[in-house]
Amino acid sequence: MKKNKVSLNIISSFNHANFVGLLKNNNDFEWKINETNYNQIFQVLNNKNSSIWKKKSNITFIWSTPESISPEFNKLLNKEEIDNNKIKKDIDYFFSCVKLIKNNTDIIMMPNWILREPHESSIALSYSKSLGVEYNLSLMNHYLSELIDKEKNFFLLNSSKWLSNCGSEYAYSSKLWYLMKNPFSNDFFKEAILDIVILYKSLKGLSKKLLILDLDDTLWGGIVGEVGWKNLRIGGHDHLGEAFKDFQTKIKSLKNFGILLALCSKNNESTAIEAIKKHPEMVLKMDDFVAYKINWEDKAKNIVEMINELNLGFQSVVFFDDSPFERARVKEMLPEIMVPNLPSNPEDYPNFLSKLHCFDTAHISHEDKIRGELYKSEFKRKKLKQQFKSLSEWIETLELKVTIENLKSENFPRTLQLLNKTNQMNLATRRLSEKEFNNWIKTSSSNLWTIRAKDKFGDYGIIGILSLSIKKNSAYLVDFILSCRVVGRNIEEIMIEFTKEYCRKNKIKNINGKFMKTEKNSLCFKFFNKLNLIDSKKHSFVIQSAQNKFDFSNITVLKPSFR
Amino acid sequence: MDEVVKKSIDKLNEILPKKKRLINEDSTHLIGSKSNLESIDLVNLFINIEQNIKKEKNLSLTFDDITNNIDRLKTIGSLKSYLKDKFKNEKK
Repeated sequence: MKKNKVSLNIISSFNHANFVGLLKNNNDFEWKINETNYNQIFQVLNNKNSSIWKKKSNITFIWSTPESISPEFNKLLNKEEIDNNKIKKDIDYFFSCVKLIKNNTDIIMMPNWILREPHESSIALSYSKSLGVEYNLSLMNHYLSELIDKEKNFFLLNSSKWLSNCGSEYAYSSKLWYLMKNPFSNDFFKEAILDIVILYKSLKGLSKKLLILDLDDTLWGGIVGEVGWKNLRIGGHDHLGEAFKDFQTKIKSLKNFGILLALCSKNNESTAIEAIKKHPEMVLKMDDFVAYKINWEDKAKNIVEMINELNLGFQSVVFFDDSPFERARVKEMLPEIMVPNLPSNPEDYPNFLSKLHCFDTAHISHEDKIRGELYKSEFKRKKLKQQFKSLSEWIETLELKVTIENLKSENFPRTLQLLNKTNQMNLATRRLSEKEFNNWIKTSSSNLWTIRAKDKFGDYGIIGILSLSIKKNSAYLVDFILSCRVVGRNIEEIMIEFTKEYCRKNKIKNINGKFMKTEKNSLCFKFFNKLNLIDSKKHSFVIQSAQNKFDFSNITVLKPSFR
Repeated sequence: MDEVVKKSIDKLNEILPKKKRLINEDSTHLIGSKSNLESIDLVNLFINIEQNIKKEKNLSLTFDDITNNIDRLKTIGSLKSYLKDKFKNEKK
């Protein structure tokens, strides 16, 4: 599979050659690294003519040591008494320099400050305000995090965690320091790279969305069909039972981040559901799952059916199963699905889940929090759909109401999220940072609307974006984005009709556009192809605004007043 | 000792671009015009060897031991011979 390209500027106070070598060999992205000479942090940040600022990068990674930023902190390492306010002033200056480059990069990542070598303070003085290294290091990191919190697209990474994951003995290398001016081992750098990748994936909407779970010996101890629900090991005064309960609690907490949960288990459906409903220690309830397949069929087949029903991409799915056989089967049949090897000991499950990070997200919108409910409503809609012969007959029963609105400030985060996360029904797959999006919106030629929908089963929230660039009576369809959850409900046709109506009223005859093919937007291709606008060879198209094509009298459409 | 060298090369290859990666064969050049390695790569390789010898064999090799014998380390084969030679007595 073709990897996404990511450009990263590295600015550091130590020799980062090994870090760069490891990063370039990372397989998650195709990395383009722009390096600067080490120990030139302030010079590079203040030099607008530096070669690394010639082209805007995706990431700028600023890795400094505390003594390289704060001369006052450096005094502490020589056991001199210091003034905390001077440390804050040093950080203020450093941060003012960092802010100078924020327009040259989509995001800025900085590891929190740790010492560049193992340090043993005097026990009595560690947390002394004027002499304590630990006190002042905490102060520096706390102060920096407060400054970062006020900025968008700035992220502070937890390098203390990398240190503890490696162990101090293996994280530092005095030999590398004295020979190369590189304080850290490759194992430490690998931890850093892992977090950079996870954070960048979450910012780009590449985090996983659905967790499919087995039941026996995965969510509870024991085989329910054999021991009965009363004898399952969950909670209670039982070490394994407690581990399973903690595991369930952690899984449930993923729901708050918009992660969908589903079940795929080889069991009698009624037996398994009875256990979920009746066992008093079950943390996860049937309501927590957006879908389930509990039967004796092949799990790979069941998973495919569930993913199709939920309209998700396979690459957004994770499958947990204690059985190596089932894992191997799913891995082989569905290689795009992430199938981690669960630890052999269930007591390690909760910690394993915490360390997985594939569900990490950088922003949580209202839609994320209620995503499970939205998908459950979707299941009800699909069941209803099966009862009707024609699409229009089914849509009529939904009592669908579509609202097209001008972009409102409160809808900004969700709009940006849709723009950057939607893959399948996306005409141009434009990915913009918040700043770029803001700038685009402010341009006089830019017109953008959000699409909201609801029906008798619930509110979908904002599910689409439509945008036009209009210059001198010529319109260009920039974004045509619709959440895959609602595709096939005539909302996409309504969006086309609205575009035409808007242009007619503004005396624009032709709407130009171009389908930008990606690995994931074949759904969008099919839609525009169905409208006879594009084919496999011709991706540019023109829509005549005068042409009225669709009738949607069975759908209520609310539109904004035209300018 | 071959295992120590192999592990050290594997670790070095983690940071090298594909084209520069070392092939673990006795004839592969480490130093000189036929070598693809830069000085920083050699430093990394020798540090890896020093660490792996300590870890795997509990033997001590200093960076100075290596730099003082650099003429004997032109290829992977000669590096292995040097290490075997140096620690011959410790083994016994």
